[in-house]
Amino acid sequence: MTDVAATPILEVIDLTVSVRIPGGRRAIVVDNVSFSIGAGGTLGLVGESGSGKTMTSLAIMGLLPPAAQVEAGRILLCGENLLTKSSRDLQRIRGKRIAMVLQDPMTALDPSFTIRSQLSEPLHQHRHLDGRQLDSALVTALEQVHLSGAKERLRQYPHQLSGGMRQRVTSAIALAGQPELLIADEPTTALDSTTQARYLLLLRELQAATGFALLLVAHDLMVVRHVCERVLVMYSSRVVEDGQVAQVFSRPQHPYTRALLDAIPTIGDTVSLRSIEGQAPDIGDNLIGCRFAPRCPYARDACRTEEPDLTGRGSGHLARCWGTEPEGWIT
Amino acid sequence: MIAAAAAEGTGSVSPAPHDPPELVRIRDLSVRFRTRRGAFSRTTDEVMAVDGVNLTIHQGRTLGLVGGTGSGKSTIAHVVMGMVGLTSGSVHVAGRDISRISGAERLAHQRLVQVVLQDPYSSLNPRMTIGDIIAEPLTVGRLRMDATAHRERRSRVAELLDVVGLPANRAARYPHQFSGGQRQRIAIARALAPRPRLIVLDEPTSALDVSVRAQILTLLKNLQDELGVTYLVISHDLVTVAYLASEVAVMHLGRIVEVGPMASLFRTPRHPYTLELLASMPGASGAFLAQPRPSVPSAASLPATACRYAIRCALRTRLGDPERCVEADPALRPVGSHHEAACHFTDDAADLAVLADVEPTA
Repeated sequence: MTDVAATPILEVIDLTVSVRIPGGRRAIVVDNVSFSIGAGGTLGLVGESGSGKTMTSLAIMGLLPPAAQVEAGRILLCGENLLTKSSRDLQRIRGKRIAMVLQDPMTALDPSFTIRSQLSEPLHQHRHLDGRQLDSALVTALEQVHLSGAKERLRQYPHQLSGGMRQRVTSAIALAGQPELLIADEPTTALDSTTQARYLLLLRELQAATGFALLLVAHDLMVVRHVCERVLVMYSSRVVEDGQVAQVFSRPQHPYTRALLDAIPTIGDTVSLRSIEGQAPDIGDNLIGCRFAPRCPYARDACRTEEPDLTGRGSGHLARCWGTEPEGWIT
Repeated sequence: MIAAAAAEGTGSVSPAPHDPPELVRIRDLSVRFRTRRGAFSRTTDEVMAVDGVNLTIHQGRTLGLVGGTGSGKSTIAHVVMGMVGLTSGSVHVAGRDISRISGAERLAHQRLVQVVLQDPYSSLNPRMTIGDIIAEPLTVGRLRMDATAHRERRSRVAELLDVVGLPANRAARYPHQFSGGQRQRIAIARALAPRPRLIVLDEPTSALDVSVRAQILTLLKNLQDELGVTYLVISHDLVTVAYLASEVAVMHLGRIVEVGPMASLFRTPRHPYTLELLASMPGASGAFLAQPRPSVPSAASLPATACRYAIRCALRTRLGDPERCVEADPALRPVGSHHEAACHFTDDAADLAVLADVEPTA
């Protein structure tokens, strides 16, 4: 799946989003972000809270909160700009062509309706299924996400299912409209670790079987590792690194990515882990130079005076760092 | 070391001579809860949340309790904190039998055992300044504070903020002015305030970003080295437990299925559930999880005598569903130095460790 189709499913070009902050000013929370996902492609968007990853995914869905607005850029779904669509058109696109799986399966499902009624809705709405066709589609949808005893599950309410089962149901609902793009925003954060690992296996399997393009948003690089081909690392509203997962994991080209990888404990005779000191700048901070410089162990004077651009490191690998550029000092 | 011997005297695991004294001693602990069948139902079901658990935590050490949702790990912590009554067995904390304490002794117990919870957004009162939050455990039970007490209180708060790495002049601010990681530092400062002997860490890093998680774990470890405080860490995340704990107990459906020193348990896991947890860690290959598992839909379809893990055990399926798994629920038995596991086929589990990306031998 390395070849990119002629028209990507999703293309985000120079997206800039701002939010209103106290004092009447607007702060940029997504700054010139660009990426694309081809048919069957998988992209991981990684960053800590406040890095702009969720604002990016909400902008794609057209679900930005009232205080936020798109300042510039285009979001193309199969070549059509979503930002110029009416809210009515967007409503038709959401659920049908773009579907979303959220963090908390407890709140994503309505507690007062059975699984059957919640899963029937998208099947009826988007695929116009009725009667016997609907019945068999319901069972197929649950079997697809490996929920056993589908007949019984359909009669149950969300509270009768475990967290992992609920996340499988929300995935079945998301995939019911046979979307071209699935956005999964921290889909495993609320799950137990064994459930989390199994859900990620399922996501990869579903993606391979049905071929939707996947945008996986996570704060944990390791979640992205087994599911995605490409990863975009965001820090303080900007993309700081962009590359194939294998490249980024073996040769990270930004000190922040490197620090994220070091922050994962490795278990040997003793457990070692290194933390990143300090915190990310607040939104609205007018920092001069590289935004990671205050926390960066490799920072030099150049980093504090001018912000680097996102530049190439060979074979499609991009990074925003003076130190790892060809004449840089980080090896 | 944890001695998880079935009872005193059977001595399958004897403490090493250099072990510090015991701080927490749990023997045959069982906790049952009653649940109603439905909102208007009079019939009740009994849930065995904790079933015959033995654990010992030595002073200045860290015990990690690992398990999924509903394994009973939090119930054990609640019993140790004195928030939940036990059904049978005994729990001693610093020599006190906590099922028999009352009045002034209970207050003393509550000072001795403090807790840091998962979500620093909901565990700090948004209407209190962080100075008041941190000082609250110091003032509980005191009727009047004179000027000296106030001055002492202020200096203790400043000292605690410094200990957890926050500027001392922030005491007058409110929780919303801090980030998630800083709030967890405040929660830790509050836990340290009454100079406790034991701190229960209930999923201390689950709500935090990866980079912040590392900061908090490092802080907790340094605090233990400096202050000699004892930790009981509860988590479904093996990474957190592996970093902090010297001993680990793995729980499944109210029972301990494997217990031992951290290094031994991670390098030579002997219970299939521990393998499943290890295989779920970030970076593991997924080969273990991809194995066929039993297709039994619920525990009801197995006889009551069966091993409780049998319904989801990949090892049992791999061995061709041996009768023993259904005939008898295995008890904990020694599999190494201070290391015990509750499985009939611990040797086969060791062979399977390769699939979970765990080194087969130490």
